[in-house]
Amino acid sequence: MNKVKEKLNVFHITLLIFMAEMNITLFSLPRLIAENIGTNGWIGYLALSAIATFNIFLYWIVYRVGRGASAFEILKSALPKAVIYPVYWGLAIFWIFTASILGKNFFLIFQMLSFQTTNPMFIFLLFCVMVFALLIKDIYGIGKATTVFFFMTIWTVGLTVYQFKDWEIVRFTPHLFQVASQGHSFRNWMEVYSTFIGYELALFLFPHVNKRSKLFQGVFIGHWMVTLAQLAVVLTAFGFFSFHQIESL
Amino acid sequence: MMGFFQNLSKFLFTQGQSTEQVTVKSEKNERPSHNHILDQFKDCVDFQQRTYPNCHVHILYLPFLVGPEPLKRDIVDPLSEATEDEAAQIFKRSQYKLTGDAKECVKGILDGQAAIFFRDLTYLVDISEPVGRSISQSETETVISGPHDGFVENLSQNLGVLRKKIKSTHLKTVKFEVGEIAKTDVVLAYIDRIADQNMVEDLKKRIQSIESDAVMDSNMLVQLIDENPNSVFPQFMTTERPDAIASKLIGGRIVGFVDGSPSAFVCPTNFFDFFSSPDDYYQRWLLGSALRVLRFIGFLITISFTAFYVSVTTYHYEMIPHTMLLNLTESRAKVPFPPLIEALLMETTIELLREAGARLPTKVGQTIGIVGGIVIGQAAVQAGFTSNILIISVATSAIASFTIPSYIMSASIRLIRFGLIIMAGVLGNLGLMMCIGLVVIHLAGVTNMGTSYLTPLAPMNFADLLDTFVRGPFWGLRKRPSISDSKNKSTNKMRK
Repeated sequence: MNKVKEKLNVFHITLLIFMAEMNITLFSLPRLIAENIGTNGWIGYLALSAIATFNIFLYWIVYRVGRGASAFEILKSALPKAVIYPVYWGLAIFWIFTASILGKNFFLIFQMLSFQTTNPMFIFLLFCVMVFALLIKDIYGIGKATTVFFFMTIWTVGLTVYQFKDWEIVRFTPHLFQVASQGHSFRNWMEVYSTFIGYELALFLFPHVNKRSKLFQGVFIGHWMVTLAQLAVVLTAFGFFSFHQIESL
Repeated sequence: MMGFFQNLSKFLFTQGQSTEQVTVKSEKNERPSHNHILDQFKDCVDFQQRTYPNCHVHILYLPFLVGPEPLKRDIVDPLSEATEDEAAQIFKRSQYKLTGDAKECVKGILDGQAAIFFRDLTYLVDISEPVGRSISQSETETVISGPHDGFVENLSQNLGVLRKKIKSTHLKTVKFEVGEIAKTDVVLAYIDRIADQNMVEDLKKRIQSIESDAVMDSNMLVQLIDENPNSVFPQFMTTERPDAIASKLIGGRIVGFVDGSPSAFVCPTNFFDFFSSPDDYYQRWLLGSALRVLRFIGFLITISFTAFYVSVTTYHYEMIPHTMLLNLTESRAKVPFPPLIEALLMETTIELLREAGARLPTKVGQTIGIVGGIVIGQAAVQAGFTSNILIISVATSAIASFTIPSYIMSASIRLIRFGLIIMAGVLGNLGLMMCIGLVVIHLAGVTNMGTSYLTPLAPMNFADLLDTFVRGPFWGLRKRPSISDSKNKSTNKMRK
């Protein structure tokens, strides 16, 4: 039977970008912000999100200028083959390593809490099985699985209300970007910026969308949904713990 | 990168199924002759022939398929004292159909018709009578309020019941013959201008391309035409309820009947259709919604309760409230097995009990079921074989699985439960969530007639959600479900 090749719509794209950007760094985000940006670092976090938004806007320009052509076609037309294949290999290895480190990071936390005697590589292997099962689907199937995972997890953001009893605004302090233990430098701010890894997935969605899909509308919404969800966590942490407690989380 | 993974998955998982359509060679039409038909039915003691020498007529038929009244009315009474010329006039009546094809003649006899040989001509007259039980309530799908009739094994009776429910000329039926030896009749029904014609044509092609000796039941036929034969989840809904079938037809779906099977199949179907019962629509919408929510809670309980018990008692004791911790420790103190083994043993026992209960004769089944349940529950705990909290968990899971209206779906979920229990025993809550993740990923790839199995959750359709997790009020259900891809979306008006 000929399957209809469906195009992604703005809802799928939003959830894909949301789930791609929401990662393990959420657990360490308050500490990262406290160490690298300082007091009221959530404002710096919002500024970094705006920079990421500008980055997405640059992708949008590429999409418009390329008239919806796939990123691979654009690269092929711009670069010789001798350069493209090492670039592809480099990108693939980079993303494999990034995903592996993110996954390993996640499982090390679990291993520390509940599976002290279990080899983390065993858990990592099962994680790879899951990733493989997901990647052998087409992007539309991945989008569907992502939608279900989104609804299974988004409600946890609402659990932040349980902290309101012990939340106090005075813990934010009236100071701006002070007492950052790692100091202020480009590298420190980039470390916080790395929490936004995931929106580059939009590059690979070019061939799977059409004009009705409103690709970048979905990417922007997804990115800002992640920003707001992570901001909720950061604000809760900053109001629950004192600044120095956050640094030692 | 994606292409590499797709090729690898094809290599690993393709079962080598033929997806090419089989073109049936048309055979040259052979004229039917009396001797030829006799030869076809030689060594058949249930085959009968009659001769009327007064009009030189030979009749061939299967007596156990014909009714005595139609036989008397159309054969015996007209021909017993007729002359040859009178017989020629009789055979001009509309119920006597002229045939020039031997295969059609043989099929007609097998369908309960009588073949009449007169001069050089062959006629078929339908004198069949339905063989089988009368319309009765379905034993597997009962409702508290609503119609209590159900489909039976006879295809004609089923079509008659359906026509009584949908009195519309737009209800179209298409007949096929499936099975090289059994030649089972399969009828597809759909409502013209509501059902998607592309889907109808696709389904027709699939049925025509079935290569099998016999198809005995709808549940067997759907396995031969579905897109994911290796999935544990059913992809075509089957039901014995005429009211459910009628409502699916009106919703733009296509249904199929198999002669000899009391179940009709419906497509396209999604995962959530298996949790819907006709009961929901016969009660107030709030009550129907509550029942549907209860079924989904039952689904979550049956799939994860025992696994959660295993993961918590093995790895995550910190999750148990301290007041319950003492009771749990006390109940598990005498058990020599780890929670995983204990849970697998009890789940297997419950499955054995359920399967045995389904196979036992009615008179013995109930007694054995009660005794078995009490003995296994009480004695197992007292012997220290298992803890009483696990018995509660396993029993609750088993009861929750029976809230799912579709027996086939509940059986699939019971099977998946074992996988979740094993993963929970290996990696605790992480393993449980990984297994749930794998199930979700699998479901995301399952399709039915080209539509997503997780519709309307993924892809999201907000209008359809009103009749998925809840049963919305009728004033809110004015559009046909998006899965049927109907051109006629509104349920309010029907173009004549």
